[in-house]
Amino acid sequence: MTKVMLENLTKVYPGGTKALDHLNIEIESGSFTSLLGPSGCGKTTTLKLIAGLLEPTEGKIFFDDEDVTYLPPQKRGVGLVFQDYAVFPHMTGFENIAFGLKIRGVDEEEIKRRINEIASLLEIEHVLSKKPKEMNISELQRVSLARTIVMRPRVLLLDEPLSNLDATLRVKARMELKKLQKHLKQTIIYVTHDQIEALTLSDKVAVMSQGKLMQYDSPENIFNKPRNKFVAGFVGTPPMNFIDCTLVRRGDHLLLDAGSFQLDVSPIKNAFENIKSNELILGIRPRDVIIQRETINKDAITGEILTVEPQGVENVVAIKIGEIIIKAIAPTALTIKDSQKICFKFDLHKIHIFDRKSGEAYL
Amino acid sequence: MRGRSSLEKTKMGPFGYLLLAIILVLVIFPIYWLIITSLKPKSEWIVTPPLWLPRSPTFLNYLVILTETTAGVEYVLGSYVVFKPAVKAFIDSAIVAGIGTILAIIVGVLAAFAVSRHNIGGNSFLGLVLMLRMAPPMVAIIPLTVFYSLLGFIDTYHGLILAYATFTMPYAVWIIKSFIDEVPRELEDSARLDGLSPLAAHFKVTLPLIKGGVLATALFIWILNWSEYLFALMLTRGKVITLPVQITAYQTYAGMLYGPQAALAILAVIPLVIFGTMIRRYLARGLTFGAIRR
Repeated sequence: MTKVMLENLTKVYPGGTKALDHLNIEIESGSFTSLLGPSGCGKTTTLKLIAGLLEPTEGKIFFDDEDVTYLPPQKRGVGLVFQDYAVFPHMTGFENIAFGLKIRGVDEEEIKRRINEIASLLEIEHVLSKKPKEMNISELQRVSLARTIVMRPRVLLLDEPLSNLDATLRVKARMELKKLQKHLKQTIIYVTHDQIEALTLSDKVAVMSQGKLMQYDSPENIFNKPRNKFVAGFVGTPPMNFIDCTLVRRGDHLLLDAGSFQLDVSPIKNAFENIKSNELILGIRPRDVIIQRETINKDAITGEILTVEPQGVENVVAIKIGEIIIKAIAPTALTIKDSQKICFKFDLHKIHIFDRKSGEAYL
Repeated sequence: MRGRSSLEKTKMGPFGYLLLAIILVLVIFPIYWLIITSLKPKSEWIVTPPLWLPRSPTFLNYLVILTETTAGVEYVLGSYVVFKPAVKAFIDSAIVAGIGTILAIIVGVLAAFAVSRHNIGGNSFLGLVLMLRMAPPMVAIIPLTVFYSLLGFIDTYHGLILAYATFTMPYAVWIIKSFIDEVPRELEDSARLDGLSPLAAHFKVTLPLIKGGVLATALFIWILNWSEYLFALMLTRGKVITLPVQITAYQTYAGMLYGPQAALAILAVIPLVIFGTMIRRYLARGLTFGAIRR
């Protein structure tokens, strides 16, 4: 098991594109860490830098205490499963898995033993004699995984390995990956743009945007305590609602004035003590918008239903309040129609407050 | 579904068949004409109306090009002309075209990897390489003859080999680079993580995958070299003689000797057909490459 440390890691490509900007992450030994972010945020570049396939423009990479920044990939002891699997098309499943072992000079008997062991673990015994063109996508993915794991790498890197699978296979593969990690007890760095994969599989998630680290935390904290507006908006489906508002003190009351409505945040006013700016963004997840059929208390806000998107067990509804549109989740039992007037309120303990200028979270 | 649609695509109407027949005639006719001319005696080479089949078939033309037969006297009036056997031209052509092709392919493969995988020379390099090749050979031949005279390369095997390798190498780089580009870079990256150096990853992973393409390119370049005339004519003086030059030798003051010329042309095509047949498995794959990505 190996601890991976990225220190001020920066990568500028020859064309001048800055893919990574002073990235600092400490990945604990034996942990499953996800690099999560939209396309082009630098997550695959980070993975290639860790693997040694790219050289950083600036910064250092440490495996435990060893500086591996300029060590060639073949000497790092890193395994990488590529998004397109990179299974050699001219070799059988067995030859693919044995390829690296042969290069390392492992003897034939040991190669056979290790391949049988890994094939049984990943249930791919039946494809060992097949060529990649005869394998289905799930088998290809497993062969790719097998040829990486069989090398017993210090660090296992996975670059969106589930992205080519359909939804059903992806759920199954996710469970198997989780099982595999428990079995291997290995440091795994997993690149994905799929927040569900990142949140369900990982011990820690690093959310990235435009080459910068936005937040590095446990999945729970990433979801419940986003450090900035980007993380709050990127994680969660449907995404968080953001409403520009101004903090107004009126007597004993503390209000968030959004123009079309005012939200009385007096019950949680202690949380606002350290907020210096009055220009804020109110964030609320659709699940934390409580829809009521009728006005039952004075805090309720009235809006008009714009659209209803059925999702099976629940509906995602868009509510229009003046110029503001927010999304909420309503149980299917609640009959809602387009253009219907509706009342709702926010769960005050679940609201998020961001600085309008910097996007940093206050609450 | 895919198979069905491609089958449907091959269905042609009467116009399509007619077009195909015209193309076939255009391609086949010169070969047919060469064969029958090579089997005709002199009296039947140029007659009106033309003879579609030899009236008195003979192998004399083949005998003239392969041996120092005095039967050649038949061809000229009053002179006793004996031609040197074309066997040497076959051997010389095989040497210069063969080694020239091998050199062009070796350098081409290395350069193509450098350009494709390491972006050596930048983005304009490849265009520059091809631009040089676009210049007519006539432009190069006079300075080249002067240089070759100074270097003592005139009428030598290595001189002609060098010229052939140099002038066909740009094609090799261009074609092989396009094959390399088709192979996902991740395959080599993966092999490097398994323990191979970058160079070993090129040769152990990508090269086996583009084998068909390289062989197809080799055939193409060999055809260019095998049939090249201008350099062979200008850079040799008789010690080295290639087939295209040998063909032009079959003429006298009385005119062209079409029979021996046709016979030699037929024999010259045979090695190309043999090589093409030998690698046809790779040829089809090489030319329809691009199925590596799933």
